[in-house]
Amino acid sequence: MTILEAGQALRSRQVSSLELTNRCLDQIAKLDPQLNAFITVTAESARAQAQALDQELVKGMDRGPFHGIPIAHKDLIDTRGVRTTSGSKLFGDHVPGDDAPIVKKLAAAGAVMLGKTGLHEIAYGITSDNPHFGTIRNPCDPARIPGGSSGGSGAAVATDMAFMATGTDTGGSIRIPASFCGVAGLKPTYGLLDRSGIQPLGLSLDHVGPLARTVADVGIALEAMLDDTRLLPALANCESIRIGMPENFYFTHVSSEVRDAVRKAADSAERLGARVIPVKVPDIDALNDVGRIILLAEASAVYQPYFSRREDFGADVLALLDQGRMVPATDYVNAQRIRKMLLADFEALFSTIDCMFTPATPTTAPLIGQKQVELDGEMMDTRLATTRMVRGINVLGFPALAMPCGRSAEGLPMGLQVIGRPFEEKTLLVLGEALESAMSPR
Amino acid sequence: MTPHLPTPETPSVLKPDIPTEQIQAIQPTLEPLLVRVRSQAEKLPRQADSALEFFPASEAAE
Repeated sequence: MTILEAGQALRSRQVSSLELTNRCLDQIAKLDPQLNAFITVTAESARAQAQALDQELVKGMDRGPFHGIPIAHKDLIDTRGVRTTSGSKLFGDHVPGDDAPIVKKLAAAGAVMLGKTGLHEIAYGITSDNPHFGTIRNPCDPARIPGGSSGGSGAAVATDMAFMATGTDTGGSIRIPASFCGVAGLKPTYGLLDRSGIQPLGLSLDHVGPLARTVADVGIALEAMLDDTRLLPALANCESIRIGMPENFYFTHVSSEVRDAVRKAADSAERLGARVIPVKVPDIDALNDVGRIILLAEASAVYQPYFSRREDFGADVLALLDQGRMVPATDYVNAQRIRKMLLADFEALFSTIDCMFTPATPTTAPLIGQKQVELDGEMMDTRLATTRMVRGINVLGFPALAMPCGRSAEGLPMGLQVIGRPFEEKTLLVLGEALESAMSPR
Repeated sequence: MTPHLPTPETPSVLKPDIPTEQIQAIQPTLEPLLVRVRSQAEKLPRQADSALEFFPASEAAE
């Protein structure tokens, strides 16, 4: 059931918010012992919230599409009185005194909070194999990673443990779990959603956004999370949308199944009336390099107060934080300058197209513990291969939607990334919804 | 006034307290990355640019 369907059922009194909440809690009780998507479940307060929201509907008070819908928050987003760990030993006892603004906005929109979802330690990685809170598993194959860092959010939404979950994305952390778990996820334009009350990682790269089962539900969530009106109207329909199909970079070092699935998605968009235009993409390798330098330096700046507690970090995160400490300030400053130069190149490209199709991830979900993946006959580091398609978009700050575009022969989800111009999320959502119906991948 | 100099017991802030074996382990990853970014930096204009604007997309749309 989607948020849209649940909303209709609630308003026709076919179901109550308490029933929806209990269904989600039953799913959590049944599946979470294996998947480990949640760090904290707030069952009692969720039931109390749901009952209160049911009473409001009875009295004719309707807060809108999120009224009575059970959701979860990534466990680095502050929730008043509910432990918020960031997946880290450092914050194992952190109980915020206030909700983050996006938590307040979703609560005001009528969402019921089921609990806090697990993540890669401090959101710095793509496996969600967390040394402090356990390994989060992919619901399509528990031997595989769900992606990260918002791995718990992806797994929870994919298995009906929650209708929607919040995520954060510094180098792909919403889009990678969306791709590996077979759900939709949106990294909005940089700065569109309020990040206060959220544990930072890359200060100039961090984004917060929603993961949900469908693109339509992601759109509903975005509306509820918005705190300004900077979003531009959508292009009227698919016929007026120009889609760039990259001729370089994005279709090399990609599995043949993913490559075919993304091309089929472009064919579907063309059948819907969109114009598909081959494009030469500016230097993504440089963009990714710049993104890595900026993230290394910024994450280490954020965690500088904790460097004396080396034993409290997992080995992979500690290695990245140490790398960040070895990046000279001169290189960080020049990386920011190169970022601006590359941004101009991408703005020029996006003046000729409305969006661009790429794979969200070059492969389906790797196995837990898999250090390398083979792509085009070359062995590549799993983390670098997995972030290759998504990291650069954080450097640009452009919005990007990840959505399912089919299943592999093994039955694993494959993800399409639709990148748009700043503040043009609505165009991505209109196109994504139309594509979702046309491709029926679910 | 005599400037304060670090004694052997006082760790210098100029030297990060990262174990040597960790530095050796991360060197093969970090060094080529820095070399590539420095090569990109050679393309930067010599004249003044507004280097540290962290919010490119937000700014572009406003």
